[in-house]
Amino acid sequence: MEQALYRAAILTFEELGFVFPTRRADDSEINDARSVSASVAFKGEFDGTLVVQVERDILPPIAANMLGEDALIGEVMLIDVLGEIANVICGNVLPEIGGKTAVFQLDAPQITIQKSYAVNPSSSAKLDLEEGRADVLLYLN
Amino acid sequence: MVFNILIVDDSAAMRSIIQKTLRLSGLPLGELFQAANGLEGLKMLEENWIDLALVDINMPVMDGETMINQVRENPDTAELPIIVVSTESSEARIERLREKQVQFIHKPFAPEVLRETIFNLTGVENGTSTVSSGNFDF
Repeated sequence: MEQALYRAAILTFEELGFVFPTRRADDSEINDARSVSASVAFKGEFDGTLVVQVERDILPPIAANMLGEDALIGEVMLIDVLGEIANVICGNVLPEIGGKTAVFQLDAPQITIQKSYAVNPSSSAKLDLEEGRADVLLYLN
Repeated sequence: MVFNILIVDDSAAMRSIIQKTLRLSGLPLGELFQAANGLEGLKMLEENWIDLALVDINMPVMDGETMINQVRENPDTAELPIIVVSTESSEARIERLREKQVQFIHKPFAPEVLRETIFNLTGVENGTSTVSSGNFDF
């Protein structure tokens, strides 16, 4: 499950955000005070929630990569970018765990600010990007 | 001819990405319309001439599959070329969508994939359309 989560997260950051994350080599944690999170709840073969928690500094360059350097990118759009990243990671990891025939219904991403999620996820992928850290946490009910 | 295109996705960021990709694609573009869910998409189709729709599946209010069903049931829009752009990975659901005569692009997608799919669907080559508006063959 962890390998599937890393694959889906890295693929999404690379192809959607045009950034190239690496697996975190040390035990350092995200600074909750500077973090923002998007969570996607899902129902289907199994139920749960996928959370993408990032340090805020990584969002502006990713948004610029996705939307164009000349795009007007406000706070709302930054949040929407994070929500879409979470949505795409979730949509890609679930069939890897549940199989290609499994059907899942994904809810719209929910955004939370400065909240620690690092409490016993079912699986996690901890990534380093040039501008900061990103954690992808999967909780199965 | 130019193409009027409807983008239906609940993510404003994804709508912007698709719009940016379309503008860079070389496709002769007319107006680009946006909707945040299937219901808004149907309203756009009622009020505007649309040549091609790009539709997400998981959306609030009305999902993309329900919207596509209603598009196909309406004689005015039954032949509308549709590309589903979604994270959906269930083979059963994708096959069900393909039976509704839609093309499917999986997120995340490379811009070239979106470009090629549109060009194949519309018959456009090198920025020149080879088919007439509203007269597409699947």
